[in-house]
Amino acid sequence: MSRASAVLGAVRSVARAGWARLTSSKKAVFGAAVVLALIVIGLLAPVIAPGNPAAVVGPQNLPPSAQHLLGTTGQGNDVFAQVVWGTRNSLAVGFLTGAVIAIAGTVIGLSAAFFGGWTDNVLTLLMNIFLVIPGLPLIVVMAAFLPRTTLSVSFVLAIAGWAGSARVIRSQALSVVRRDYVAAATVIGERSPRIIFFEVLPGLSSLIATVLFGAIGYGIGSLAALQFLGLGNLNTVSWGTILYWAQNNSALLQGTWWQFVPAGACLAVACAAISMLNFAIDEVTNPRLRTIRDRGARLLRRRARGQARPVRQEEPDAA
Amino acid sequence: MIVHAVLPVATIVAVSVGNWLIVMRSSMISVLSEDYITMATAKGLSPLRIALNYGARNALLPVTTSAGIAVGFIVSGALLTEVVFSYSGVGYLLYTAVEGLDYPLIQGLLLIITVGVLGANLLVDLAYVLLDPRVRRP
Repeated sequence: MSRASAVLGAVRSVARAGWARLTSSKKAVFGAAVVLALIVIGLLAPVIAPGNPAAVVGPQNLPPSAQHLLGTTGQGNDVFAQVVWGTRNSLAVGFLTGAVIAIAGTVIGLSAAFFGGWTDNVLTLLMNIFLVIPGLPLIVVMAAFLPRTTLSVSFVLAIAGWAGSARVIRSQALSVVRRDYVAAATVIGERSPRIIFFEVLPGLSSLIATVLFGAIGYGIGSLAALQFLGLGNLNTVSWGTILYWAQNNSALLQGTWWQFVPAGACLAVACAAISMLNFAIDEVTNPRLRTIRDRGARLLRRRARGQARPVRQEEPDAA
Repeated sequence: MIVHAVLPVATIVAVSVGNWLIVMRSSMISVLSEDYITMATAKGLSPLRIALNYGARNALLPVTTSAGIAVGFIVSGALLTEVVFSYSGVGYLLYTAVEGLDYPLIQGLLLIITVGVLGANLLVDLAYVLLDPRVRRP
């Protein structure tokens, strides 16, 4: 209990340090606002669009009107209700998959970096194998053979997607593990779990946040891809299943754009917002990247203005 | 038919061009901080020449690597695009095989995809030695 709260405390202090810089970044504010708005829509789905979204409520292929804000589908369902409830399900699976991938990636990457040697070799081999296997075909084949429930879909996405995050975290953890304070902790006799979770993990919190958001975006996108192919749980309503039924109904040929544009737009906006949040976190927490970029841009700008001043006057932050 | 490939290709390019931009950008950023860029600046070369001949030439190396790997992945990764456009490629065939639970066909396709990806990786590794003298062993 106290261990968990201490980890949380460490994460919170890092978060507080970067908070001011994050809120000054337009990308971060936009991304967070969109993600929060989608979460609120998902949580309030029973209030915004009461009733069963899969219920047949009117004639088929009705264009948008006051009664059906986004028209009806080829089965006579209300598209607006489907998109609202689809937000709920898509985000739920996306966040679940993202959390599973981030946790698995962190645990595996950290143990590979910390224990080294034989453990590291085996885990790195596993990561490389899963990285080389093309993701989508693997997901499609696995999804076809597993029971089509929401949990199994999440499981499939996590199996195909954990390796990337594990490798990123391993390479960063390798440099953290070699730092002096970790050696000091080993010398004073702290046990491995304590060193991993109290000394090494806080140094990785920003990277874990990036991995988490990346994995959530991956989860939402791949879930939609899987369900669009008809390989997900078609009894639920999500952005992917909306697109699946639109395709099934040949919405493009019939010109019934309201059946696929809203869900597609939601999908695009959600993924864009998550990516923006990720870029912003990356810029805030990676000062090395920032100085190098500023230096490169400054160099070219200075040359363009024709200033013949020596370029590499060692700036204090360049050390 | 190459004519039928226009729309699928346009779709794939439109979706993936952003990734390439980001890779090239970060690669360019790290190259621009190299010493030989400073040297070129000190020689008084024009910014355009520095950016293209000194920066971009070297920044292209990592992009070449991912381009080669992408060719391998395109054997399989275009699955969604192929299904949308009913383009009869490996991805579409895999989709129909999965739909019909055609095990031998799935196995064969996965073999082809794996060979494609691994072969592309190998070729990229070999090509990199030709492109970048720094990785050659003396």
